Amino acid sequence: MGHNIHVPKLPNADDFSRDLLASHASKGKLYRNALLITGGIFSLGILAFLVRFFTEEFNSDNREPWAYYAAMVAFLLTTAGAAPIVAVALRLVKAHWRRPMTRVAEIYGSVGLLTLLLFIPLLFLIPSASGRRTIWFQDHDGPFGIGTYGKIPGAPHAYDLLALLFLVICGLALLYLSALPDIAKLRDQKSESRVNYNRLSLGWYGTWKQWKIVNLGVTLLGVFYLMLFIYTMSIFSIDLSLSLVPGWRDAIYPTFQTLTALQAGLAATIVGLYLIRRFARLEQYIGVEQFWGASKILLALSLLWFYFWWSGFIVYWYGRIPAEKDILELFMFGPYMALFIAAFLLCFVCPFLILLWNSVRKTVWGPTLAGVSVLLGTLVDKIRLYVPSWSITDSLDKHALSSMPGTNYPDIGDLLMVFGGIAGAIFIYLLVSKIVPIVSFWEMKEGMMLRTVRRYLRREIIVHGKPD
Amino acid sequence: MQERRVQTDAEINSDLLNNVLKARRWYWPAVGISATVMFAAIVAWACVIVMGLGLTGLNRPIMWGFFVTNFVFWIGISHAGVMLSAILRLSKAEWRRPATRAAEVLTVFSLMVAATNIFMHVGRVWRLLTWPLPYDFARGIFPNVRSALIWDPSAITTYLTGSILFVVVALIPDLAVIRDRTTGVRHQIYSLLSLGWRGTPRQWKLQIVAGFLLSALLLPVFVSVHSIVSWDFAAAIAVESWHSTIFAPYFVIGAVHSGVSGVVTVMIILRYAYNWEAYIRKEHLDALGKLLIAIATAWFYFFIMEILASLYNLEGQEIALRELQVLTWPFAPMFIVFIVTGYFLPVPLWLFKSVRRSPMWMLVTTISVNIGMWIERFLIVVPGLARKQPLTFDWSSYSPSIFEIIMVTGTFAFVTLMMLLFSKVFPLIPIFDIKEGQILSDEIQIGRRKVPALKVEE
Repeated sequence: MGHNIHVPKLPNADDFSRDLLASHASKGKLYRNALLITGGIFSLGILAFLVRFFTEEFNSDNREPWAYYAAMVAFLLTTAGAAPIVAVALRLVKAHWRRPMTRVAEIYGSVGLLTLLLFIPLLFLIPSASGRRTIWFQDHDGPFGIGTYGKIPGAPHAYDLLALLFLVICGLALLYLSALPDIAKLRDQKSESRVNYNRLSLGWYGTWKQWKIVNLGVTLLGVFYLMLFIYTMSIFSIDLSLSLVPGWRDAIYPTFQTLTALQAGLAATIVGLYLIRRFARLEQYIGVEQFWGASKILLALSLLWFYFWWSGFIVYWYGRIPAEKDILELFMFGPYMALFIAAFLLCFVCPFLILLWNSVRKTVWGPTLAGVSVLLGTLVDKIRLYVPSWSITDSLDKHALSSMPGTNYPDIGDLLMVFGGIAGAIFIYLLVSKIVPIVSFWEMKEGMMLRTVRRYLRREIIVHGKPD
Repeated sequence: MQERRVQTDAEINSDLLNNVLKARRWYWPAVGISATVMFAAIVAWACVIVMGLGLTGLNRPIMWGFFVTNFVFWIGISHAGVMLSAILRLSKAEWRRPATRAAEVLTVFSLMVAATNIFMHVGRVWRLLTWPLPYDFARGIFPNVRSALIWDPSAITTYLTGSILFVVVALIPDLAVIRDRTTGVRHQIYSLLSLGWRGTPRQWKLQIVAGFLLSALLLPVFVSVHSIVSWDFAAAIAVESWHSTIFAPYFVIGAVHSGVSGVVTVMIILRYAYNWEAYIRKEHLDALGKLLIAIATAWFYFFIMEILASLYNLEGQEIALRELQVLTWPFAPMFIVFIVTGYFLPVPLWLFKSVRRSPMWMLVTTISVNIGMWIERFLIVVPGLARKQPLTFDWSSYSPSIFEIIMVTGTFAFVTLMMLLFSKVFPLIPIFDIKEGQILSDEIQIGRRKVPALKVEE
């Protein structure tokens, strides 16, 4: 198959170092403008938050004004929080095409700082676990009828906060450790940067022992991050949406939210990769191969989006239990139907139709377009799920909704908070990319060493080294 | 791939056809034992058909017992074929090569035996005619096409058809190799089966395209089969613990866990039985062990979510049922055995490379997984039905009769027998795939070290 395939000239490690260093050192006018714009919108978002804070009651009995804010935090955790998993997973399976995209994904870990800060106000808005249905089983007969469980101190607030805190620390540690050899490289370049790379590089000289620590550390932190993320996403989605709606008993929901996060994280990485390729002029090193490889996974995740949604939907729809019919109406066929249709189209139908074709998958624009669609769809989906959850005024010890709430439309403050939060995430990403190289030097160079072109019979083919 | 040994085509042919061209000393006794157990099962089944389901331990309200448990178990095992063969083929995982055929064949026989369990379950087998087929013999009654119980036969027969095609397409080049090494009637039969294969570029191209297409087409079918099996349960709102939104993916991932473990078990047995140490190497077991860690942990996550969601709603009847399932005799010790053998024993052991690379340890741990997964299905089916009604006078318990035990044992004997017979007629490791692997493997020099490498088509 493919006897007419042209094998491209493989890039040279020295050329790559030179090009990437040049790209890292000279961030142009476009970069500064992007910083200004995102910083400006972020500031407006903060202002909107402050106005809302001082004009609305700020307690767990008045969650509705913060519904869009909660959706925005969920969106950030879903996209930026999941993106480092792309790097982790591709490293674990030793996908050779991953190399230009691992750092792009890992830098999203730094956005976790913002997510954590934005999450803190939400802690004051979610009700205590006492006397209601939560996974923390507080002040209730024990789930197995073996007496009343004692109070779990601080549930759910402390555990949600700790989970997110550890996740953010782990994400930052992963980024720092994997960037350490590159920081040392920047130190050795003696650039005019104001960043003190000498101190940041922690005496890295690339000894055998140091490399061993970095390789082992990146793997362990990666696995730890993956597990922490699944845990955090699960309890976040349960505590901040599922348990706020009477009658919503949905075992697949936390898993579905984790899956959509993986899809959105990959989409964010693809879109980020496209922008870096385009604006940092790295077309020679970020090829179609990366987009092609990532697009296949995005296609699989989009299909899984449908499968998980359908698995949950069919059981409720088929069961015809009144409490469950109310849940379907609330989230899909009632006041938020338009958002459901939009999320369904953007998260499943569009990426599926785009990525179905190999000729489109094997382009730079195809997977990027699908990625943009998924990101938009995820934002809409979070609004669809979190806004109704935060707009319910029923007592939380009920087993069904007492009445169907109306649509909670956003006002200007909501919009500013949502877009401000997203702009804040981009702002932080841009700042960190000024410090840490946006493409991993060492992983790219390792890839170049492990790759060669050989003649086989009458044609040239690429040979990939597969060290253990 | 570090442990590859360069072998000639002749060596590969000779090694991988040694089971086909001549029988080992243990072969016929093994066939005899399996056939005897299967015969006993057939006799037991005949008794049940003649005398009725009263011979089983099934009673009201526990009308689903060993047979349905065993049906779900074998459907689970059948998921190994597509999981290993199709997904690893599409993702071009090099280490898939020795595992694919065994996985595909195990799929076919597991599906056959799974379907047989339903025939056993209904008692009078001819009644099945009135169940899935669109009939209107006399009374104008049609089956309810909105029932998951009707979707099941469609999904299973589609999967079985696809899986048989998958095996056949992958077998054709190997059948031609056997054809060229046999004489007389065998030669004629293999000539017929190999469909005129000569290994021309066009034939190879068609074979590869067919393999890829079938892989891609079978993937949704593979997911649908166990999802539909799960909806047999989840759609029934009357049984607490069954009506759960997570059941479909939970069943699928459980099936993959059990199926991949089953394939590893078969591979290790083949490795010992046919001295295929050069083909089913420790590096393959290592890779499968890593895959199993990921699958098992994903399955465990779904399991925790399922339990958590059932307790979270704080509904008395559901909590009482979980108490029965987890804390009450006789299910409590079964639950402990299930969770230990299904997860807490194998997964921590697989974290050690020495265990993953040890055929004996992998054999023990993968068998352990399937013991756990069989019990898991039993714990889903029976306790729920035992407390189907809130009124205590309708509660019941279940213990299988000797007939059910013999018939279920017979299903294992059937799969063993079929695998043995298949191995006498066809190669259980794809010869052409192994040869392709030999061609694609290479080495590159980095500094003072030679690194194993792979030729790839970009």
